[in-house]
Amino acid sequence: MTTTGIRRFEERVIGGYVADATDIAIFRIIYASYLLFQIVPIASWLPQTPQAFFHPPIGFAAFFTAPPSAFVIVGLNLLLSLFASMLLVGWRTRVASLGTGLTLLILNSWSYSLGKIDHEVLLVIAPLVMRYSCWGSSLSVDSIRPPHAACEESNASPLALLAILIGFAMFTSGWSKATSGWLDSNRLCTYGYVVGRELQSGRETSVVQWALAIDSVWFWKMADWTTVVFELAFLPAALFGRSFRFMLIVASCFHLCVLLLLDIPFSANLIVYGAFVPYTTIPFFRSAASTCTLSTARAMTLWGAVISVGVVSTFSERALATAIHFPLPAVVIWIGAVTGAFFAYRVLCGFLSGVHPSPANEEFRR
Amino acid sequence: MQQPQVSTRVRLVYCSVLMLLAGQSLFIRYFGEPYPALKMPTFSGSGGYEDGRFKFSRYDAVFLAEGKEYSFPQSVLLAEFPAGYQGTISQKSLRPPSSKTAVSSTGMLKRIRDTVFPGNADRSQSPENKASLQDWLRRRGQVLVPNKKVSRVEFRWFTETWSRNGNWVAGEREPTGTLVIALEGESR
Repeated sequence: MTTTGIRRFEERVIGGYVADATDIAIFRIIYASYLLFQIVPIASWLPQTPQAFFHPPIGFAAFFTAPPSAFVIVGLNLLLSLFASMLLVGWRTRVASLGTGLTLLILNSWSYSLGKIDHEVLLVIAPLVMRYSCWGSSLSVDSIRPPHAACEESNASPLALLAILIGFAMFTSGWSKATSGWLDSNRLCTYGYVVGRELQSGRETSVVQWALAIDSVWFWKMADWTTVVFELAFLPAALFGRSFRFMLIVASCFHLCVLLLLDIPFSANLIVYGAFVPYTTIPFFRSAASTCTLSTARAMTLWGAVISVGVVSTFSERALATAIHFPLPAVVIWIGAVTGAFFAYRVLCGFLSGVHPSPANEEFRR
Repeated sequence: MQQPQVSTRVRLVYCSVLMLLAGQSLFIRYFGEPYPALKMPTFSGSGGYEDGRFKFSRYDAVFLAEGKEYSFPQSVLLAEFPAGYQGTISQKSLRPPSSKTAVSSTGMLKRIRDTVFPGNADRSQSPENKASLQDWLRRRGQVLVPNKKVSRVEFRWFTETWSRNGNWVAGEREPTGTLVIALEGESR
């Protein structure tokens, strides 16, 4: 491949992820809200844990030989609340992005120090990558604060990088499955996990009952193969914006199936997939974004309100969504699936009417 | 919207990330999964399902107090921890020593790793760990068996096999070892 060819390829990869500043600003707000309402506080139970249970994986927590004190955990959660609330209102967004990513990383390191890793790493990566985009240049305090400098960065390269990282993460999962029997025609792996979860937890939902009534080896084997192919395909798909967005539509359906069959609400991924949603093509978001006028006073009031959510959650040792018994992770997955279906319908209509289905296409956006 | 120009800085970032990801794959192969690592849940294998049967490894936590046995499952014993972490705590900290997974790397690499990451070293037999486990079990004893003097706790591990006879039914339990924690006098 010649130098010109490589450059053209690079531009084509990154050009597939050109996004509107308002779209990624909406993503910023959704991401920060999720942290404040569902994630904070992290590891509040850890200080009471006996040292005998402390088995951290190699990483930050492994520099220590015992769980930290309650003071450290409370302090870090307050810091996370501060950064996440700054991110939500878009106040010093770059500092807030870096702070959110790093505090989340340290708190998760402590949370996983009993040996179990929850694989919500995309939540950590998202603000660290999006820091280099213009996600703070719209719907934010930064956009009204003097000096009002226009964001000169391109949104495309951080989004393309985020897509490749998501693609790689999904690929690791597919690779583990492909090399551990999921492709073997004599093993029913999806079936095994569904029945295993049912037997171990004792729960019997109607969806699981309906699925397990399908007594077909080929059906369950197809489920295994489809899962492996879908997860492996994520990485090559990330090289092209359109194919990656198509994979996200499939992924939203996949995560809904995982929720219904295995009762695992893997909502962290859905939140991060939100970086690629052209929100302003959805009438609700378009009208909300166009009518939203932010003054410094209003933004500071909002900031005060959202940081109090984090502070109250930290001291009550329960996330707000959990405290009010609101199943936010499951709701996120359902919203993701509905959004996926909406865009699948739009893409289909676009193809039928001959409109190029890309978020960059003005006709499609209308 | 215009096609963006790719700068040298962006190119460098992409190359570094790709190298890091390759390095991560090698690292995981030799040292296990670190945190952070860009990785999703594996769901490897078939979740215990083999030849039409399921095999689960479980235990009963038995508190012996005043000549009587009080048995509790993992979910009750470890109720103060998030449900998703209970299995890992049990596997890593409440198994009899002989059945724990052996440490894969040995020699100089292991010494370097244990020096740089002391938290990652195997300290299951250290006096501090034993004492902390005893203290925690005494506290749990006060909650689970109130007003009784618990003399020891036994973690009786077994393999449970489920087979399908119309519905799924639990079959035989095969004992696989017991971890005994004495709360009075000598421990383990």
